[in-house]
Amino acid sequence: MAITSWVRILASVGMIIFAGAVTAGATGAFFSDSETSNANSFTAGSVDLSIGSRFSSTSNGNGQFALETDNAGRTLYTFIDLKPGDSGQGAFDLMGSSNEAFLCAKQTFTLMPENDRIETEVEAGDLSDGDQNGELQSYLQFAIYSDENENGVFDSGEPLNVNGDLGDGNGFTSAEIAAAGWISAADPTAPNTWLIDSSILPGESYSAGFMYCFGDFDSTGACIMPAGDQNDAQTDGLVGSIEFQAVQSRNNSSFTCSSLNA
Amino acid sequence: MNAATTKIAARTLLLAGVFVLAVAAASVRGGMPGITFALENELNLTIDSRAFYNGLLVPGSTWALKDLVPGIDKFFNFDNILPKDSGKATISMHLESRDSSWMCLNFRNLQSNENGVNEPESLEDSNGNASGELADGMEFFAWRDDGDDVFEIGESPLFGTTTQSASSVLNERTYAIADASLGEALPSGTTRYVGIAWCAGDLGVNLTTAQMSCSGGELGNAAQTDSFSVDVSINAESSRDKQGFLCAGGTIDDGRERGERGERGERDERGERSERPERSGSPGVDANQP
Repeated sequence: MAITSWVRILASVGMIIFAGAVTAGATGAFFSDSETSNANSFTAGSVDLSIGSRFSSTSNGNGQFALETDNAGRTLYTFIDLKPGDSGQGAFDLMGSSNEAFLCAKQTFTLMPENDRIETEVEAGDLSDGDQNGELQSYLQFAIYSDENENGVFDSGEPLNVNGDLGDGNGFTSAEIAAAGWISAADPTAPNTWLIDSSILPGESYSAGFMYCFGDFDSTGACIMPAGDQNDAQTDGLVGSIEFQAVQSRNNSSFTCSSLNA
Repeated sequence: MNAATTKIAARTLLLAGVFVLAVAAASVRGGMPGITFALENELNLTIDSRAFYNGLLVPGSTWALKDLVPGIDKFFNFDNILPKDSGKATISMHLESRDSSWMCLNFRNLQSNENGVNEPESLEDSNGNASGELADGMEFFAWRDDGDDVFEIGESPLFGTTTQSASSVLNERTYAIADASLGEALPSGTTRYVGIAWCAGDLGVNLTTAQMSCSGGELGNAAQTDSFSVDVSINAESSRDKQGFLCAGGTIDDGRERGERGERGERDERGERSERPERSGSPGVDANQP
């Protein structure tokens, strides 16, 4: 009996091991190979423009802001108490993110308020009131320059545009600005760009300067006292918005800011 | 009694003999792995890649034939995609095996990320941080290349002739490079090429002229800073015991009468080493094409 039990036990052990060996052989029957490349990725870049402003303490104005990406509704400049022969200036700080971009600008004038129509204005023939019936805009000229040293002041030698290439050279009137629509701050359309005739570089600051003159500019950017009087513009105002748009320049070499007017 | 004892002893010896044989077989296999069996069934798949970005070679995604290192070797790895950017990768898949093999191209684990919302994006991205839009806005087209990295007349599309966005054609998709639906398994020494072209925007593919174009207009500010990633794998399966193998799963016998399969020609999985017929050249013939 004892021998028989041993044999049965041994037989059981032998069968278990044998079955295991068969299973090991079967798992090797299907061969395969796989090559994996994990986490192939695409990440989009960005074109995000920041705008700030600065002005000279010698100018009649206020409003200075650090660079921000969101400027909607923010008043960057206020110039008050304008009189014939006055001038002022400031600059917009601009910086793009991550990628080279063309830069375009568009100035629109939204209000031309009469404000109080005082006796002097009436005597000068100003007979209309209302937010769009002021006369100040008729006597203001604007000029733009590249504020290369970024001090908020036009310095001799900095590229200046007083509308000399395409206009009368005494500055841009509000009507001329409105008619121009989108203009180039940085695109290939030399020489009529505000800053440069190529794209702006990411992370590099640019300063787009501007000047106003209650009168006419000369070719050097000096403000010339206008002839006669401009009494009908007393107490009048001019309110506008400026919009900058950065457009990627990679894969977009034929772009010009004027195409935004189409 | 003696007869019974003798019988028991004989059985014991028989079982002991089997036991010794089993142990010996196991020890031989364990002591020399890959020698006794692997040589008979060896299957080694190696991959090379040539990648281009806006017409320029991408050294980091270009390599000679090798086994891939997951997480290191990437066919696509771009971190500053702008609209109208384009590129392609040509993947070559090389087989060394005792038996002919099937081969499949797989895209898995598509992950789309918003990566924050910048100011211009916030003006156009209606779902905010909910999901990235880049995978929807990037388009892909793949073809069975002849190895010169250029889609040419006569080369068959693999995917991207109709639906092209990454969120569709790279999302849990498997494409047959060689399976029973296409013909015979690939013999050892075979190299297959797949070209994958992409466009950040609208990818145009003219199958008649084999011309491609990329327009960025379809990819707007909503996709700024977004990203997506996907795992790409190529698997080769020995055909010896998988004669009707389909990359999509199952076998060709599952949904096909044997008579229909016969029209494609019967295969001899073990002995045949001939190359499968060259590509037909007619576009859209791939049954796996989305």
